Amino acid sequence: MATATLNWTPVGNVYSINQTVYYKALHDANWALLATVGPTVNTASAPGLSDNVIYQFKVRNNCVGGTNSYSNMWELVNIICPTPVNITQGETDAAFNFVHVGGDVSSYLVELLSSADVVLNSQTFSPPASNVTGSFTGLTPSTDYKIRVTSKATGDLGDHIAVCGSVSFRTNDVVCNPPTSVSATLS
Amino acid sequence: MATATINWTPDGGADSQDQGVYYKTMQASGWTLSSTVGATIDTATINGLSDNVVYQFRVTNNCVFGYNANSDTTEAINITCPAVTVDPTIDTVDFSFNHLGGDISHYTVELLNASDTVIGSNDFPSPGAVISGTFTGLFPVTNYKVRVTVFATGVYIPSFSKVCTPVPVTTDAVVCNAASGLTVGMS
Repeated sequence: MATATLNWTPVGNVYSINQTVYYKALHDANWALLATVGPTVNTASAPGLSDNVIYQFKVRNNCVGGTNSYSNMWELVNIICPTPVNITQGETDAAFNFVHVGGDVSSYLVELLSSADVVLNSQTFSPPASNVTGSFTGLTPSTDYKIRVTSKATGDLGDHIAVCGSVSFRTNDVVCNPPTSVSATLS
Repeated sequence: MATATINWTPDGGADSQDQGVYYKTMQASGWTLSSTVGATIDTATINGLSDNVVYQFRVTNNCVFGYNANSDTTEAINITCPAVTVDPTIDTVDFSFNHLGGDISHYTVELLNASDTVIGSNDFPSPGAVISGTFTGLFPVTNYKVRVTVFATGVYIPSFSKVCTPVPVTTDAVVCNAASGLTVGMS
């Protein structure tokens, strides 16, 4: 669960009676009342929000005479990175999988990085399946790599992106033992 | 000419693709690929090798992605025996034979009695083109044997040797003819 903290600049003049703060999830049709605050209050808190869901907020200045006006709409999302990112590496390939976090996360960018964090390859999953799986091939045996996942949720105001921590792995060694017990006879 | 039989224990792992069987003379610098065999094969033969030459052999495990691993090097030689000429007198035996050449480095020539006990020995650590010598102090009309042992030195195997079949020889009889032409006169 997440808590949103809203800040704004109130009008706060003699015509303002109070302010009402509204919120809704991106895909909800209706706005819900979060709080009613005084005309000069400039902050509010919205606890108990679900992770990976885009929430939208707006503040209405309620004035005398029944008039009112809305602030601009703002939105945010607390993206939780998928975990664990499971990696099964071979000598020249690496398979990965993780569970889609759901909510409004609509795509993942999975990147293969070198140990020096240079992007070597990438795959995009949009829309993702409930279990995101893929693999990178053409790797070098006995070499360190990382896999990094970037989650994206798209709202009305644009994309919300979370670059997750990378997971390191090392490709397997090629097992190439020398023949042993070599003997020769000449006759 | 000689035929080499090479035996070994293959790695035979999942990463093994095939094996190369290599040989060279002790004096040569470069290896020659004799054959390429399957990953689990454990024997090979090489025909047409020269006698009295030290050959070196090794097997390479050829693995995926260009990895490979060489076995230890082993050595072998097919030593032949020289044709020994013996020439007895009543109390000596002369012997001689031609140096075999190649990598043969040393000969030992032994004199055996009828019971195969060594009663004399000559060492030839730096043989010339012809090896010769004489055993002395022998008894007339007695059976002896002249036995040659041939040596070669490798790089990895310090001494190769072959004990050749002894050559029988009988010393000559003492010639003790009766006096002849005896005449006696009286006066």
